[in-house]
Amino acid sequence: MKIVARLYFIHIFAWLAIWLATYYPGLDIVLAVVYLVIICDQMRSLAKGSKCKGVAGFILWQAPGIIFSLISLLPWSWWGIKDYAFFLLMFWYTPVVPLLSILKWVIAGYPLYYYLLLAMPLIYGLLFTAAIQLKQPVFSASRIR
Amino acid sequence: MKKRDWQLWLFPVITMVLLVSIYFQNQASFNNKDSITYTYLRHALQGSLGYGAVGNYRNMISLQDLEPGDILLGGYPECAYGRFSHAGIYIGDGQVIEAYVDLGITQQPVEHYWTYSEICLLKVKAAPAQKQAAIDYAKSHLGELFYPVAFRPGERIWNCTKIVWEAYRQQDINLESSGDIWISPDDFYDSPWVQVIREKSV
Repeated sequence: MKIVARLYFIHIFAWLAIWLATYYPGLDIVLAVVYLVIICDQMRSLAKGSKCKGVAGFILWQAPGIIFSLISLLPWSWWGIKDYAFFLLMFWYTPVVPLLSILKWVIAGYPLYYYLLLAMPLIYGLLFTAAIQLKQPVFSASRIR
Repeated sequence: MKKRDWQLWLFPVITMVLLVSIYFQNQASFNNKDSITYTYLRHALQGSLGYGAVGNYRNMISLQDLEPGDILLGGYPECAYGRFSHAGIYIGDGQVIEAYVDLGITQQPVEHYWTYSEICLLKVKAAPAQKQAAIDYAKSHLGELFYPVAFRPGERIWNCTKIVWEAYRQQDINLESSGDIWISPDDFYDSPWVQVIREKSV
């Protein structure tokens, strides 16, 4: 739980700092990269215990992103809830918005950042998986000792 | 101090530094109680958040004599930003360039402005060449990222008003002269650079 609280604390203050940094174009991109480095390092701590606890902690940390992304993908929208969910999804992932702003491609009428935001819980999941892999000690494959 | 405590405190410290820096660079704006920041906070305290009660209000305003470079403003009841929540620049042939959170900067048919309860058409006091240059600028940014609370500086992160404002600012026409940290659609309505073609409240 402590590490999940740390991840929330870092994410929320990164959200504020990186949003404010967009006032100084360029600084926002630097801070977004720093955020990713820090968050990857912290996720390695999350992966230190048992695999189940690590995955549960990751889901707990990414719960807002997962919920907003799933609502945004619903085929129907009550009282504009889908639109507001995408708004909130974008706010939640503000720390990576400067990096998304570099991508300017449009695919099937939607900009690339739209698809990447919807997939962001999965992208964070891949980062988490990579962090777990990095945690594993590397042994020599050689039988010659 | 533990090895990784700096990771915990880096962003809170940067947040404080940036808050102070932005405040001192924009003191006039923060002291202006009519600025968009205070307008939004006032409305938020009264329970109005976001762009208001979305619906199809069928204002049916005439769009026939719109010319390339004209600006359209639209708003819904209980909008937090002021009377209007949305803006777009007319580019001719029934098309408008505007920005949405999911589509980014996009080109759309102009008729959807009939859904707003508040609608206003504005003519910018500029030469046709300046208007065309503003349209070309907006077109060159199609597909770029929309962020609802985009600050005034920069040309990577946009909202619906910032792209219109920047397109004209590039032609030395500043549609927002109060120096606020962000641009609102109501700023265009109040600008001395525009004249109202027609407006309607439903």
